[in-house]
Order: sequence, then structure tokens, then C-alpha cells
Amino acid sequence: MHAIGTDILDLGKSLRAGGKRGAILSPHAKAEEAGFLLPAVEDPASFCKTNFGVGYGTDQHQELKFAKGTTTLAFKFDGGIVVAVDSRSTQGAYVASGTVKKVIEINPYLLGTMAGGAADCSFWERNLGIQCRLYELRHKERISVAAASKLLANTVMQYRGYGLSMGTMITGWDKTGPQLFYVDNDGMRLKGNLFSVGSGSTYAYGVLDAHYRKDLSADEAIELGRRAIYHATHRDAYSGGIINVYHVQEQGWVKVFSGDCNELHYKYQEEKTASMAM
Amino acid sequence: MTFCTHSPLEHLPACASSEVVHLNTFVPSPSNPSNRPASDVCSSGTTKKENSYSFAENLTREIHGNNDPIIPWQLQSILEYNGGAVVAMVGKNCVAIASDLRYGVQAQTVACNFPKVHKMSDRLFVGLSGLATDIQTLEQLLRFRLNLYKLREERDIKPETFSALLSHILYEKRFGPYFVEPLVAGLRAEDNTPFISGMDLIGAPVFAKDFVVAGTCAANLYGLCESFFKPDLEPEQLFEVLSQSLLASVDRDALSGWGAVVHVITPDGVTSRTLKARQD
Repeated sequence: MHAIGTDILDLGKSLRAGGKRGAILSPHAKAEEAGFLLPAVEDPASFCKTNFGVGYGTDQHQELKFAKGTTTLAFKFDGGIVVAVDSRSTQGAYVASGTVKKVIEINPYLLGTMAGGAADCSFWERNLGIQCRLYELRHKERISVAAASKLLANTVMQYRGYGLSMGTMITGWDKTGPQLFYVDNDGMRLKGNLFSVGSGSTYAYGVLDAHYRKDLSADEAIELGRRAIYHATHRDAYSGGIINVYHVQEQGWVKVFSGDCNELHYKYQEEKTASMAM
Repeated sequence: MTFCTHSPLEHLPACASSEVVHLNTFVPSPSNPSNRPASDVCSSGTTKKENSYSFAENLTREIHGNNDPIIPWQLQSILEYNGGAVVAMVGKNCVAIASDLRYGVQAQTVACNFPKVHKMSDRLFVGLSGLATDIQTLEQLLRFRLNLYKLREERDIKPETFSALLSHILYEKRFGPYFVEPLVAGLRAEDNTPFISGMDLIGAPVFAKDFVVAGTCAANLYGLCESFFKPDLEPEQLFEVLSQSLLASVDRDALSGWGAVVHVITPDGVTSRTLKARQD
């Protein structure tokens, strides 16, 4: 059996479909069907969870430690949606990278964000991109954000209890306007106006809640997203590096900012001293 | 520390009393090796598996002072609870020692003005990395012991002697250690030759000819110091090499950084500089 073969395209689609239609599969038969080789133990789910867990605080006892640690945020406002993220990836205290792309460009009008296990997020959101493209080809119309986020939620539901770790926001603009959904590895899927996910999310929420308004101008909203992420990178050890900001508009998303959070620190510090001198 | 009670300095604060028990001390007793509270005994009467808590977890439980199961968020060891980096390097008739400035509680950066290098005398510095509470306690204790030494001997302590004293103080707490990894850097009074040493938390000394490192990014520091170090550097070159090594190391460590301070000790005096560092 291939660990991951061409049947990769079947990942995440209803596992009851196809040859085994109607057959009730055992929980781990499901994962095997989807193309992942599972450990040959009695209870693969709990084995995976114990030994290959990716979540915060769940892998320090393990031989395997995964890249994670993040601040991401997204919020709706009158001019669309702002998505802002940091770019630090850590394995324990070690900073594995400071230039990770945590906004995943699923297609020109859908964005996903990455928090939790880096591999889990990038793999399953790429997989979501495939599913969305297939939907487009079959139905001759773009998938709604609600449907796309539900596809991802359904996918992670198939692997519930296996130790996946992802906290993601799916955003885009469809027939119904700008849309924002939060999807995580528990299968939780929430619609909302403002989310922040990751180890630095509490700091970002602090800034967002203080300054968020629905009638923010586009420039104000972008600055708010950038500032919230900057404050998180300063206080949270596991966030930092480059800050990326995206603006979701009717015609699709636009990348509006990419810069080092350290330069922002000294810029904001200068502005602060200047305003105090006045 | 019995000599303290006979000392004229008896009224001075603190650690002088032989009755004072170090708060972090817990001595594993043979009957209860993990020092686990009795409430951990399950209702069925069987105790939890002996090694179900790691050493670090037990210490965390001690510090938090309750019996809630603690999820040590990324915590490998109590030495990494607050984060920090210290490094010392030898030059030609000079020596430099530096630390970062972060004081954090696991992921949360609480302050960016917490230097971990302390001046012990005109030409002797000690760098303390590890658990912040113990860094402060140990710094005060060392200052106290040094004052006593000066009063009794009427001279400054030699770096070698100070290193031995520190090692002894640490081993005194062999079964309930200070969670601190110290470095010593000084210039000998006789001939201006440099002295550096490092030790583990129970006082096993390492006397190096080139550099010593400690802290949460010790591995990074080793890599950079091995690459950048040359023997017989002049004070200004030494400052540059040490600073670049430290800055590059802490940028690859989530738990240290947020500024750094470097002291270069020369026969003419000490220059101390604060470095502009990344703030993430």
C-alpha cells in the first residue's frame, strides 16, 4: 500500500462513497481508506494522539516535536476583511523560521490562515484548495466560503482524535458578501466578525477589542491588523518575524503589507515619543 | 553558615540565619521519592505510576503551590521557565561578559530590563541564567558573602576563589538546588590575565580558555562562539565578537533576547554597553 499515492485526491471526500458505499467503516479503517498508513497497533487513534500529537503542550514528552507557535487574526469591517499574521515557527524554544507564510492563498478569492501544526495546516488547506477547484469544475460556479469552510471542517472531523492540530480562519468574498469562518481540529466551525488564533491571540484581541469598529476605513483596518499582530509579537515569545497583512475585497484578496515587526517596533516607539513631546 | 551568627553583621538582612530553609528545597525522602502529596493516591488505594510526573513537573507543582495537574506548556525544565542567555569570552588582557534582558514567564514576555550579569567587584562579574527568583536570591547571597570576605580579608576576592565559593554555595544545596547556571568572568589583579568559568546548577565547574555559555540558547551560543572566537582579541574586537554571537543566538531562541548588555573588563576599567536588539 502506498503511504500517500494518487488516491491523495480522495482525501477528505466522504469516505463512505465509492466502492464501499453504505458500508459502515470502523474509525481507523476510515483513515486507512483515505490513504494514510496507520501504525499497526490496537488503537491507532490514541497511539497517534499520544506519540504524534502536535498541539500546544501536547508534544514536549514526545520524541517528535512539531513546528508551531503563532499569532493570526482576521476581522470583517465595512470595506471587506483584513487578515493579518506573524511568521515565526518554533520547535520548543528553538526558532525554526521567521519567514513562514501563514496566510494560505487557497485560490484568488479564498484565504486560509495557519495556526497550530504547520504541516497539518498547510497540507489540509492545500487539500481544501483541490476540493474547491473540483467543486468549481463540477458546478460551474465558485464555492461559497461557508461551503469551503464546511469542507475543511468535514475533513478534520474524519481525523478527530488522531492528534491533528490546526486553528484556522477561512475568509473570502462570495455571492453573499465578505465571509469569515473559524475552523479548528476539534471540528469546531464558527461564523463571526472577528477572530484571533494562536499563542499570541490574547495580546492581539486586547488591541483589536480596544480599537475595532465596523466603520473603519480600509487604511485604518489594515493599520489595526498590523498593530495587533505587532503587539503580539512583542509580548509572545512564540510569535515574531515578518508581519503579513491581506485585504479581502469583492474582486478577491490583495496582499497589502509585508514587513519586519522589529522595524514596526522602533517606528511605533518613535511615534510614541513624538506624540508625548507635543 | 554558622559563622554568620557570630558575625558583627548579624543584624543584616536575611540569609544569615541557619534556620532559613531555601524555599525551593525539597528533599526526596526514600519513602516518598517524588515528594508527591498524599492526595495523589487514587481512591482505589493504588498510587499513580511512580514516574507519571517528570522532575520538572514536580518542581512546577512546588512553585505553583497547589496540587492541580500542571500542563507544562513547552516547559522542558524549570531552568527554562523564565528564559535568558549569558555568555563570557576571553581576550588579550581583557574579558567580556554579556546577557540578554528578557524576563518572561514561559511564553509571556513580562519585562525587557532584566540584566543577568552582576558586578561583584571592580574587575569581577558573575552572570546568572536560569530561574529568575533564584538568580535574585543567589545574587544577594553572593554579594553578602563577598562583603563578609572583604571585611575579613581586607582585599578583593580573586576570580578563582570566587568561582570556588560559588561552586561551594551551589553544592550546599545538592538535594534542592538553586535553578541557576552561573558564569564567572574576571581579570586577575596580579598580572591582568583573564579568568572565566562556568558551572552547572549544583556547582560542577568548567574552566575554559576561550568562552563559556549558559541559558536557554546555550546550544546556539556554542555554535556562534565556536565560529567567531579567536584567541588574543583586543577589547573592541572582543566586544564585537561577543555581541554578534549573542545577538545572533538569541534571535534563534524564543525565550531570550529583547535587548542585551555587554561588559568588557580591561586593566583600565570596565565599559558597559546596551545593545539594540530585536524586540520579538
